[in-house]
Amino acid sequence: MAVEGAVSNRSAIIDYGRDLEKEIATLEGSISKIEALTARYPARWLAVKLLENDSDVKEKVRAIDGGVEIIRQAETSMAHLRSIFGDEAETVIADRRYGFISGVAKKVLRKPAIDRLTSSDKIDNIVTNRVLGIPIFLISMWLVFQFVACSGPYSDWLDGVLAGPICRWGITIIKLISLDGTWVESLWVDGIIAGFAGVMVFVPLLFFLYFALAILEDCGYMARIAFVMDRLMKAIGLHGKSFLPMIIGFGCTVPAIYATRTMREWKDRIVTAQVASLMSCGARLPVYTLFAAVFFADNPGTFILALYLFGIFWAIVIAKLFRSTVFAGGEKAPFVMELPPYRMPTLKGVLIHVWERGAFFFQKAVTIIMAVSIILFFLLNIPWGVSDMRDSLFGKVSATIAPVLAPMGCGNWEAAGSLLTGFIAKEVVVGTMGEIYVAGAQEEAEVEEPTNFFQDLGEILVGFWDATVDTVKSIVSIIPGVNLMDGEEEEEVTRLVAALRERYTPLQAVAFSVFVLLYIPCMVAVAAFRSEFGTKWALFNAVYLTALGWIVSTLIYQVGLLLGF
Amino acid sequence: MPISIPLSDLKIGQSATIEKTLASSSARRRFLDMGFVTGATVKIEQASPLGDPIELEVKGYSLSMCKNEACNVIIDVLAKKIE
Repeated sequence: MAVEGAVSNRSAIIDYGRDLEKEIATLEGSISKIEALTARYPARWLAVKLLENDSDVKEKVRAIDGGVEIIRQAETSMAHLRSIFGDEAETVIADRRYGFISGVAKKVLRKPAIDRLTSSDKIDNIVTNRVLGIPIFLISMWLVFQFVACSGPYSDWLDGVLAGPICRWGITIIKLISLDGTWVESLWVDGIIAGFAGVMVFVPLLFFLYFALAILEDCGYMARIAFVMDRLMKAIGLHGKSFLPMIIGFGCTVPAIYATRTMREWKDRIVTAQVASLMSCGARLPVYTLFAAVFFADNPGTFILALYLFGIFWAIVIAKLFRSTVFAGGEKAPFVMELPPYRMPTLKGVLIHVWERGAFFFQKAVTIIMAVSIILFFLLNIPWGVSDMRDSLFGKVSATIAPVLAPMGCGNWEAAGSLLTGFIAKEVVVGTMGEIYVAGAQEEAEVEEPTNFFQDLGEILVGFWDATVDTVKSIVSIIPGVNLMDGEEEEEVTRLVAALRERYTPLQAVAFSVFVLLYIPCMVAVAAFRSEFGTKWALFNAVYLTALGWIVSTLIYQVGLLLGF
Repeated sequence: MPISIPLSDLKIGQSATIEKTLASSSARRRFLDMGFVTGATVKIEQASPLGDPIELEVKGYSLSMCKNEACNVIIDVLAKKIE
């Protein structure tokens, strides 16, 4: 559509018609007498809003001295208008506005011969087709997943850059102020760098996800996903737009929480976020895999799948429960959502979306993660110079918590400690178990070759190039039948497997795995939750999940014992 | 002679004229904001694969609406005229 002439700049006042204008003028007159109102709002605008029965504006006016009088006067006017028009004043006002709009549009707009809607309709006929709609949606979700998974090389690269050059630069500075060999150095290496690296691993994943989501959003498909899935999600008390975050939750809870932003209603959003971490994230998989290998070696896949399904089951139960209790009701604005015409997304628009969301993650989440990593570092190293984890403050805390976990069959400090570190990131549970059960498993003293700044810089750049090549390769490999990736497997857990088999029964393993599935999400997810919904609801999330985990695991363990497992 | 029926009763591909919306204040606001004013033409374009929500065209753009919300919109159809 082309705009032919500009409307003149003077503020266009819509003529609402004789009857309405009379009421507006009287109300405007009364409003002008109250300075507290005119200081903040234009009198005419206020008069129109009050006649429209705008609840926000009414509340604001009521709070002001003399406001109640004004509202009473507005209500009298509305009743009078109702008797004239046989309809609410707001309907008449809206009519007049649309009349004004179409008048202006007629003057300045020339519509192209072919309506854009028609080509959009053609795409819609396929994409939201009765038969093809859902399969197309599933395929597009799979593609998003695959694409996000391609961020792996960048994660490894960032991890390498942090653990290598940046860590070394920090050490150089620490040496310059001759603090090397002191706790400052190990705080830097084991606390700050380790904690930071744990977060940075998520950053490429987030950016890839935001990129994919921004494309889906900008091209107009996102609204169609909600259109296609709404019925299904309504059945479990959620919203059509909840589907995407839930799916993303299988990859990682953090982007899932951010993905709820596409939802308009706060209650729909928060319920979705509350259950997002029940969609078993990728970081929990190493824990399941470990226990599956130890106790269910005949059928590891079934055990893992059962855990995933168990998570989905609880997500549905909790969503229904929350929707009818904690987050019941809410503003029942009708679910009227625009289905925009399909457009080709622009790179600039997509990148702006990616950057806005990505930067937000940095700002809000990183500070908390740093603080938690530093606290954990001190817990692990106090009293100073402890060699055995058990004697550290961390070991003592774990031993204190352990009895609480006894009813679910995990009442030893080792299990408690692993679960505690699971708060940093779920996959750390496996690492901690390795550290505790297999003495010296973590002793991988890296031989540090001296490097200079430029070698480091070169290493960073080459690494980035390699990561880009690997990523492009893996993106191309998404195409069925193409595989440019070479599989790599790590076999380092055998000693741990033996150790676990000695110490746990299969029943305990099930209870433990279920607890890992359900309990408090990792600190990054909690930080994300806090930045999106505030401290109160982040705590609520952490507490309800932990309570749920404890209750369900205890039930499983106790019932299992009764049944003789 | 036009007859008044809820929008949810209109079939796919049919269009009609909006008479009024029966909804509480905030819901009504939203309907009006989205262009559901008296006299506007509304057309049902298609239904979601699971039957609900439905896609409508009003004021030259498409939007999605649940059936139980569409029944709050009262429309006039000419008994014979079905486009």
